[in-house]
Amino acid sequence: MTDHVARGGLSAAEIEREDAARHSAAAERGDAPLLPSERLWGFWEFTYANSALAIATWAFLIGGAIGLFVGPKEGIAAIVIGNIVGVVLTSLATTCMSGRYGVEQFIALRSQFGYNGSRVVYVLAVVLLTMGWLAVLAMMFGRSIDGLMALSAGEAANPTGVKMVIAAIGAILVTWFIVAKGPTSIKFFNMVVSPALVILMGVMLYLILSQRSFSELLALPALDPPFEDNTLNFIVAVEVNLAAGFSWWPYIGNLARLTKNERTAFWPNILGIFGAAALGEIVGLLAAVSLGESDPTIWMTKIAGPVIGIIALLFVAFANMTSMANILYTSIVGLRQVGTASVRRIPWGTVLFLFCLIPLGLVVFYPQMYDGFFIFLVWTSALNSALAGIGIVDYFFLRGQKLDMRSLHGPQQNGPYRFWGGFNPIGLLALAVGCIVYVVIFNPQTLASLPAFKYLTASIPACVAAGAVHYVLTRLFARGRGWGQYP
Amino acid sequence: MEPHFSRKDARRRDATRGTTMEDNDTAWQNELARRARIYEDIEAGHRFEGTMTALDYTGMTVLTVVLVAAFWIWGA
Repeated sequence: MTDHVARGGLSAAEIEREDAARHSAAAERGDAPLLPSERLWGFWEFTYANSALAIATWAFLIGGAIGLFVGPKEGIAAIVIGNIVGVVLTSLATTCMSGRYGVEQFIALRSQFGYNGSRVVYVLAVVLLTMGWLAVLAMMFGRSIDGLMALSAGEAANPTGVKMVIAAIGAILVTWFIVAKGPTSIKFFNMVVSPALVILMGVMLYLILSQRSFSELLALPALDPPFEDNTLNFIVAVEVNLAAGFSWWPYIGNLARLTKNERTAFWPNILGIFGAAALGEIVGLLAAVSLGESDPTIWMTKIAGPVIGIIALLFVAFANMTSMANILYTSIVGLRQVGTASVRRIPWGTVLFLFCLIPLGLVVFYPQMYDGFFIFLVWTSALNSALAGIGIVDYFFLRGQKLDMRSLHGPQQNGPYRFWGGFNPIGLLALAVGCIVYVVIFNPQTLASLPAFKYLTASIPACVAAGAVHYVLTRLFARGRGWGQYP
Repeated sequence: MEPHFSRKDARRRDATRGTTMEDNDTAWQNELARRARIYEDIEAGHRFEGTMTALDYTGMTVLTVVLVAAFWIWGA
């Protein structure tokens, strides 16, 4: 039956109801601001959703990486310090405006970077980040499967061998298939995986503490500290955690728009994301340091023995697939929101597959990425910390917490967020300055740093520098040119 | 000016050109305007509920500073 015939049989009231439902669904997808009455999440609902997002297998990976630099005592301190600062600054930059106006994060970003500039930011912050994480998680899946087969056969595992690569490729292809089928299956996996991961963390913590006391654990040394200077090792660990905190920038704004108000958009991040991520990282750190191995797919088999080890590895493999499906789905939905008509014309399954090509290439040609994954994570902070600085300054200090919904969602070509050909050169310059400041202070690739790094970290100066440049140049140049509707 | 299309035409055009129906739909533009107006009214009447106050920002700052200072002293 065609839609035309179907609607022909409907009364005016029914058509109105159908239109209202269609508009609500479109608003839910981010095409329009959600009204306060349409937003469903209160404090605890958002806390639960946040925790589910934060409790993922990457927490074990980050915790294990911290164990390379510092011992458990310094590691726990670095996890708390880095995550609380990163999560608070990221939440201020993204969730307050989403919670107040129900606006989609990358539509709101038009006010900071212009309607084309927000597309550039999307590609840099979301697409590249997701591609990297897809590759890392697929390799973690591959290593779990390789470890599992080795345990079953009583052989030694070969984490960089052909079996790992084949399993990792399989993981990406299966993820592509699941996401191509739609979001329903992903929702189901989330409901199972998040609580099960909490249980797994509890079991791992119990097993670790049954082998050594907490005070013994705290006294253990780091696995492979890169510098002789312990303060420098500690600050690198803090920096990795700042990067983990800032890495929520692309995701939490769009979750917060589903909350009832600004307060419920902000505070649950502290309990949910900071609390859950810190807990997962601490388990990963303690396990890595006590067993002398930072890779969770190896320490799990060491700590739990063959039977529980096989179950844990199977579960980690499964949980990785769920995380991969989540981030792939979110990225492609967003890509279609900010994409041009030609991007939206590409069929869903095809655009997903094209997106998976780079992670597939990384798995095959650059499997070393897994062991140095924290380098990739820290690179993302050069961008995310600058974005957070610009977001805070623009929304709180330049706009006085006021956004114009009409202009943000109306035609952009002649609107106030056109800036200069759709790009805000000031916002983009501030972003570049923030990234440069970061890399000058601390080079994520070589871990080389300026003396100031020991006192300031790199993310905080990058965040402040980007915000300051954006503030000063906007005050000096934007208002005079009528750019961006600044008050 | 955008020519007027029936819903059926709009949907057919969406299918062939790949644009969302919302892009071209007058009803959708009205809906966007309605939603914007609601927020303008809330803003004008200062009727935003659950806004972050000075107490929230102070609490957030104190929590962050205390956690950073306490764990710095304990761990570093």
